[in-house]
Amino acid sequence: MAMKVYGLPMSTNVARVLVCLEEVGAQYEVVPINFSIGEHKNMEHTARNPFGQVPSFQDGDLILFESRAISKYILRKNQSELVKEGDLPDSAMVDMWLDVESHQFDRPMAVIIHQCLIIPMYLGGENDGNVVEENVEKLKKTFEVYEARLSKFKYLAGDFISLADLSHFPTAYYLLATPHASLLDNYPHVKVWIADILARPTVKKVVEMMKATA
Amino acid sequence: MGGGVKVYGVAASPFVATVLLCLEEAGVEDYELVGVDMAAREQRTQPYLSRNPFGKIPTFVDGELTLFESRAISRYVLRKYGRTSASSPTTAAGEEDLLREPSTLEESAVADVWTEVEAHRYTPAISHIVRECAIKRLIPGGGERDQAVVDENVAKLGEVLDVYEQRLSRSPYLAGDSVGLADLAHFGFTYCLVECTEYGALVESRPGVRAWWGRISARPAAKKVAAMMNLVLNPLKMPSA
Repeated sequence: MAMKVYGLPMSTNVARVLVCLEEVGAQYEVVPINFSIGEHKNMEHTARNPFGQVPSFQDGDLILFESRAISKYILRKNQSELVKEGDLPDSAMVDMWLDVESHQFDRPMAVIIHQCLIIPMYLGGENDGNVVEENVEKLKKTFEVYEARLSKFKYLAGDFISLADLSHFPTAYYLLATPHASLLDNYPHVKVWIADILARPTVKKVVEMMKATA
Repeated sequence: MGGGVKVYGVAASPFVATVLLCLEEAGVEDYELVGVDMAAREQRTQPYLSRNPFGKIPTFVDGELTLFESRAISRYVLRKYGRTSASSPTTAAGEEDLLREPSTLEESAVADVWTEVEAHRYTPAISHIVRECAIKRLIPGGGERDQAVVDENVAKLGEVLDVYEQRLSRSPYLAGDSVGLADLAHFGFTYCLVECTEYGALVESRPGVRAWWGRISARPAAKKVAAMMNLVLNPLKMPSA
């Protein structure tokens, strides 16, 4: 039976899971969840994700939520080199940089995307300049650390690409659509690294899915 | 075992407490807690930054390997030093509740789910409450409590705990039938909430959550880490009603 992902690809958290499915060549089905009619809060969906968000995921009897937990499951099940499961120090590095992505990159980026893309495009409003500024400063601090790291190693966890790198792509894709894309000019290694990730065939395929449902 | 294992930070930090708790649970006896002078912002200067460029605590060193991010560190500790069903095949009396690495892929995945929930939903809300109500008064120049921030986060944490209540009325631990990192990662902040703020009712008023907290906080390793945290936190002695 094909694995099921509930949600739309335009969601960064859904896209993260989709790229992992593509990487392992799994059979899967995307089941759309219609937020505008409150489908994410109905009993059927909250039975899969009690916080009423997307994605949720089903593989046989196993139901999961939280995109990074789902991603690790998919990759481990298929012995993917993206998680380095058999090597304790390497897998610890992947874990660590994935947590960094989640806390130091995704958090300020989620605010910037909401302020710069969601509010003007979907909510018809104006963004809060102070909030944007505050989060751009946080993002810059993160990029400073990334720049130093990526000057020494090709990828975040080391010289191998991993889930920690790929986990950035949906949010990085949206960053390039905001006025703050030019930030990357100050961090040349980060810029090259993002371009490398976005050029990956599986990532390009999921980006097309993201565009189709935006 | 564990010679050369160092944790940089202070036990009163709930993130450091998570790592200490996992080291204790894994039976690592000879780790060293290396103090960091937070008041002097030692974590924001060299040489600390060369170990952890984000300038936060904890940082962890095990021989050649340096790690930061408390949950990544904790997973590594449990995998390297912890007991597995392979290394502890028979259950001695009193060891039924051993912290073991998940033995199947599915168990691992469910454990990961609830560790993500702790990181994204539980800790962000509870950390604001703990900071405003317990931490600020311990830091010189920490400032006044912002009750609006407290109220907002009490409401958010309540919603999260309602979900936990559903989960914990069906299984003894978030991770499933056995305790795991997903549960223990909650220890530090929950301890602060219950012992050092007036918002312990958030936990105490939900039977499943209360029972779960009772099980976790009764663990010998948890009591040991609590004693380390108490040296700084100075828990409130609330007058009885």
